[in-house]
Amino acid sequence: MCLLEAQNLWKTYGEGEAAVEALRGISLKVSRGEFLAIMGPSGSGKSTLLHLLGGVDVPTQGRVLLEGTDLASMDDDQRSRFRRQRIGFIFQSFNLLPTLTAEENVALPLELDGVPMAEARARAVEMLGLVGVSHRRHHLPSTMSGGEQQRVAIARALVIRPALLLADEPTGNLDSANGHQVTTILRRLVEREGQTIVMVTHDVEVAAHANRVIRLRDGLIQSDLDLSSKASLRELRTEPVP
Amino acid sequence: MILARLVWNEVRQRPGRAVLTLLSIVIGVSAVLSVSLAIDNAHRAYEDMYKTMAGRADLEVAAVDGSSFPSSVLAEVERVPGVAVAVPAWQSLTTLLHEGAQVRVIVMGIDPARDAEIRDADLATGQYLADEPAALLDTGLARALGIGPGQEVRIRVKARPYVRSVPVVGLLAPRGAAGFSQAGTVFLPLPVAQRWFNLRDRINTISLRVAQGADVEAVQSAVASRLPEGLTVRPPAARSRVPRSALEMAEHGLNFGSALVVILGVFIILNTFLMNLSERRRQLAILRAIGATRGQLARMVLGEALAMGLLGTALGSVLGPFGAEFILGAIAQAQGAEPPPLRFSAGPFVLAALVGPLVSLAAAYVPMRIAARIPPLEGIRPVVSVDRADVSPWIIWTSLALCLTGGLVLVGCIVGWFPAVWSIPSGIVFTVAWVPVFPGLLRPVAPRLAAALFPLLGTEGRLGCVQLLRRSARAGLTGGVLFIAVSTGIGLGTTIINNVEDVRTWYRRTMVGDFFLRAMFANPATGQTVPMPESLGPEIARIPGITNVDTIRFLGGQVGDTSVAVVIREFTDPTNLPVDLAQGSPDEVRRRLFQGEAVLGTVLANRLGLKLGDEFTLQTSEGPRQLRMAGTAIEYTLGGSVVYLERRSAAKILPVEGVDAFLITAAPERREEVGRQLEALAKAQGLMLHNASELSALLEGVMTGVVHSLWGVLALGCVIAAFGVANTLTMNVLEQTREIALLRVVAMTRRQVRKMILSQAIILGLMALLAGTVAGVVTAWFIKQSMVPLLGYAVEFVIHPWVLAGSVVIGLGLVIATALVPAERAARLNLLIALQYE
Repeated sequence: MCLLEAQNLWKTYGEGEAAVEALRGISLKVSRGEFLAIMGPSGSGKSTLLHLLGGVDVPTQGRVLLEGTDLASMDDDQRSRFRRQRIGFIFQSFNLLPTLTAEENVALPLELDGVPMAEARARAVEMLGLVGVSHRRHHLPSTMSGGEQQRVAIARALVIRPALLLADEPTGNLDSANGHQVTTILRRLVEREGQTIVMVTHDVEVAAHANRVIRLRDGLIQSDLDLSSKASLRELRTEPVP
Repeated sequence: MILARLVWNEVRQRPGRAVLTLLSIVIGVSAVLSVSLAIDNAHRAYEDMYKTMAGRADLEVAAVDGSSFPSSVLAEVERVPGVAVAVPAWQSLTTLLHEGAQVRVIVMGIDPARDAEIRDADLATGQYLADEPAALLDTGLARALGIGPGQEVRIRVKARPYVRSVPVVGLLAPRGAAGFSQAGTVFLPLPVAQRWFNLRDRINTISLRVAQGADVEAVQSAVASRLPEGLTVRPPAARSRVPRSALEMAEHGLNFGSALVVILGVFIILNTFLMNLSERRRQLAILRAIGATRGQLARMVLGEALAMGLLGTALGSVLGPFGAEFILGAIAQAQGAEPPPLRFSAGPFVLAALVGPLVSLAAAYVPMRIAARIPPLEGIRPVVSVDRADVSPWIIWTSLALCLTGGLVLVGCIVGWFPAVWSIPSGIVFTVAWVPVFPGLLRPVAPRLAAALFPLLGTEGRLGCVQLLRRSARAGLTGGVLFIAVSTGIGLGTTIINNVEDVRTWYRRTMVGDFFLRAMFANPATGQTVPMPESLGPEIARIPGITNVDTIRFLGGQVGDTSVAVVIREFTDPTNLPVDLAQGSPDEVRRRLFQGEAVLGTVLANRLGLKLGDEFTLQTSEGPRQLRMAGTAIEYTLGGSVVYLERRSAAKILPVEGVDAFLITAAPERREEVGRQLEALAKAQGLMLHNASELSALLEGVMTGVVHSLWGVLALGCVIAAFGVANTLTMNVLEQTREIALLRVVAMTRRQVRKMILSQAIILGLMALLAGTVAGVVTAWFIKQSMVPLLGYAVEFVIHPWVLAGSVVIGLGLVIATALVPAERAARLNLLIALQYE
C-alpha cells in the first residue's frame, strides 16, 4: 500500500545562467512499512529529494503526496502542522536544542502541537526508553555522547508517531559502534512497529539494513534496488561506492 | 510553554546579553519616568502653592500688575448678585529671620472673621487670629524651623523698625500639600499687616465664592464690569500659568534628552534581539523543521520582548523616582527654592509602563519578522546561512526622505513658517533618521578609513574591516547609535555652553557693581521680592569710598496678553548703560529712557512684533500707559518678558515705591573698607549683602543644576551607545569564532587577534565619531537658529574645540574600552572547540 508518492519532481536553485537543477523529474513510490535508502555521490540531489519528501522545501515542478495529501499545495503553516503530526526527522548533526534536556527535546514537537505537558513528558520518557536512553532524560545534549544524542533525536522523531520517518545521514557523525546501534534501532522500528523510513546515506553497510536502495546521479534515479534477496545485497556491496 | 522555557534557558545561558537588553529598557524607562515625574511635581508644586493661597475661592480679584488697591473695592464686589462670600487679603513675599538664617516666606494679611470661610486649611494647634498682632504659621514652615505656638518669630516689614517680632498663636495645616518654599506662609491679621507694610487701607486680593447654583462665568463678567481700571477678576488657578513659563526651556531640554535615550534604547534592543536571533538561527530553523509554525516563532520573540519590557519597566520604575529627585532638586535650585517632597501620581508611571513594553515590542518587530521567515531548511543544512547583510534600500530611501522632511521643518521653524516648538520633534526626526542611512555609508567609507589607518592598524585592520562589512547592517546600526549620541552630545553641549555664556554676558552687563544689597532673593519666575525703603539709598551713598549707587525695582504689568516684569532703574552711572542691548546704541537709548521711553526684552518685542520707535500699551494698576520702544535688550528675567524704564520717568506713570536691590560701586582701593561698612549696615537692618564674586557664584550654582541634569541625560545616551558597540563586537567575535581559530592555526598570534577586533572598534568608532562631530556642529547651529524666533535674537555661535576633541577622544576611549572584553575573548579561544564551531 503506497504511503508516499513523488511525481515528476524538479528542483531548480537560482535563476538564469546561475540556475542549478538539483532534481530533474524524479518519480518514486514508498509503501507503508518500507525502509528506503537513498544513496548517491555529493551533489546528486539526495538531500534535496529528502527535503521535498519531508515538506521542508517545495518542488519547482511536480507533486509529493503523503497519504494522498499534496504537500506542495499547502501553505507554510499547514505544512508545518502536517510535518509535526505526520513526519519525523533525524539529522546527521542531531540538531537537538542545546538548552533543553533530552526529555524536553523529545517532548518539544508534542508541546508545539498543544499536547498537555504531562502527557507529552510521559510519551517522551516512553520513547527515550524505546531507544535505550531513558536514564539520560534529564541531561543536556552537551553532556551526552554522539550516539546518545542521536538516539534522543530518534526518540524526538518517533514521539509524534509519524507516518514517515526521514533520516539524513543518521550515522554520519557517529563511530561505527554507535552507528551500528542507531541502524539497528531503525531496522527494529521497521520490523516491529511497521514504521516507514526514508534514509539518505553514503554508507553501504548502513544502506544494507534497508529493504530498498535508490541510487541518484545528477538529479536522476540511476538504479532502484530491492534488497530482499542475498544477490541484490551482494550487488549493493560490490558496486563502487560513489 | 515549551517555547517560553526555551527562551528562559537561553537567557540563563547568556545572562550578559539579557542584562544589556534589560539595561537599555531600564535606562529608557527610568529616564522617561524621572523627567515626567520631576516636571509633574514642579507643575503641581506651583499649582499647590497658589491653591493653598486661594483656598476654596471660585474667583479672585487682583490688579493686573499684582500691586495693591483700595479696600473700598470689596464693598463694590460684595454687592454683585451671585457673590456669596468676598474675603479681602493682602499677600506678599517677605523674609523670616530665625536663628541667624533668613527664610523666604509668604506673608498674608487676612480678615480673621471671614477668612475661614474661604481658606482650605485647618487649625492644627493653638488658636485663631484676633485683631491684635499675632501670627499663624503653616505647619510645614513651623516644622522646618522648629517653631510652635507661644514662641516668637521675626519678620521683615516696610515700616520702621523694619523687623518686627510677633508671637505665634497657632499652626495652620493646609489641606493642599505645600509647594516650593514660597508656600511657607505667615498669616497676620489684615489691619496689622496693613500697618506694618505701610499699606494704609489697601489690599491686593479679594477671594470670591459664588452662590450655589450661580454661573461662575456670569458672576465673573458681572464683577469685571464693576471693577475700576487696572483690576481684573479671574479663576485663582490662572496665576500659576505665569511661573510655568519659566520651566518651559528646561522642560523642552529634558524631554528632548529623554526622547533621545528612549530612541537609542530602541536601537540597542533591536540590535541585541537581532544578535540573539543570529545566534539562535539554527535552533529556530530546527524548530521550524520539526513543525513550529511562523506564528509560534513570532509569538516566542514577541513574548521574550514583552517579558523583558515588563521587567525593565518594573526596574526602571524603581530607579525613576531617584532620577526625579535629582532633576527636581536641579529645577528647584534654578528657581531659588527648596525642592518639594516628591509626590507620586499615576500619569508618569502609566507613561513609563507604556514606554517600556512598547519600546521593547517595537524593537522586537523586525527580529520577529526575520524569525518567522527563517526557512526550516536552515536547520538541516550543515552550514548556517546568515541573515541579511545589508539594510534594504527602501529603508535607506525612507530614512533619507524623513531626514529631508525633518530638515525642511527645522528650516521652516527658523524662518518662521512653523511654530518654534516644532523644532524639537523635527530635530529628533532629522537626527534619528540618519541611523538607518549609516549602514549604507559603511561600505564605501570603512575600507578607505582602514586604508588610511593601515600604518597604525596594519593587516589586522584590513581583516577587521572585512568582518565589519560582512554584517554591514548590524555594524552600521551600531555606528548610527554612536553617531546620534555624539552628534546630539556635541549639538546640545555646544548650545548649552553658548547659552550659559550668553547668560553670563547678560549678567555681567546688567548687574554692574561691587556690592549688592537686598532684603531677599527675588523669585526668578516672577521677579517678586520684598522692597527696601528708598531712604536707605542716601544712607549708603554717605559711606566713604562709594562711587556709585544704582537701584532696581521690579513691578508687575501686562502688555497685550503677556504678563511682564517692569524693571525700573536709576541708571546713575553716566559712562555705562547696564542693559544688554540687542538693538539701539547705548547713548541714544539712555537719552530716550530718560525721556520716558522703554527698552523691551527681545522675547517680548519679538512676540509683540514691535520695531524701534513703535508704541505699545503697558497695563498697570493705574490704568493703561502708552510707551515708545527705544531699544531691545537680551533679558533672562521672566523668560525675557521685561520692560525697562528709568526710575524718575517711571514714577510719573507708576507707583514706584521702595527698592528691591541696591547696586553699589566702590573705589577699587577702598573696596574692602566699604565692604566692612556695608556688612555692618546689612546686619543692623537684617539685609542681605553680596559682593560681585559671591553673586556670580550664586548665579553659576543656579545654572549648574539644570545644566548638570541635561548632561546627565546625554551621558546616559552615550552609555547606551557603548552597550551597542560591546554587543556588536561580541557578536562579531562569536560569528567569527571559526575564522579566528583558522587564522590562529595558520599564523596569527593572540596579540594580532586582539588588534583585529580592536581595529573593528576603531574603524566603526572613528566613522561614527567624525560624522557625529560634523553633524553635532550642524545640530548646534540649527538649534541656535531655531531659537531666534523664540528669543528674538541669535545667541552668539561659538564652536568649542575642546568639546569636539573631548567628545571624539572620550567616545573613542569608550568604544575601545568596550571592545577590550570581546577582543580578549577572541584572543583566548580554545582552538579545538572553535574549529568545530558553526
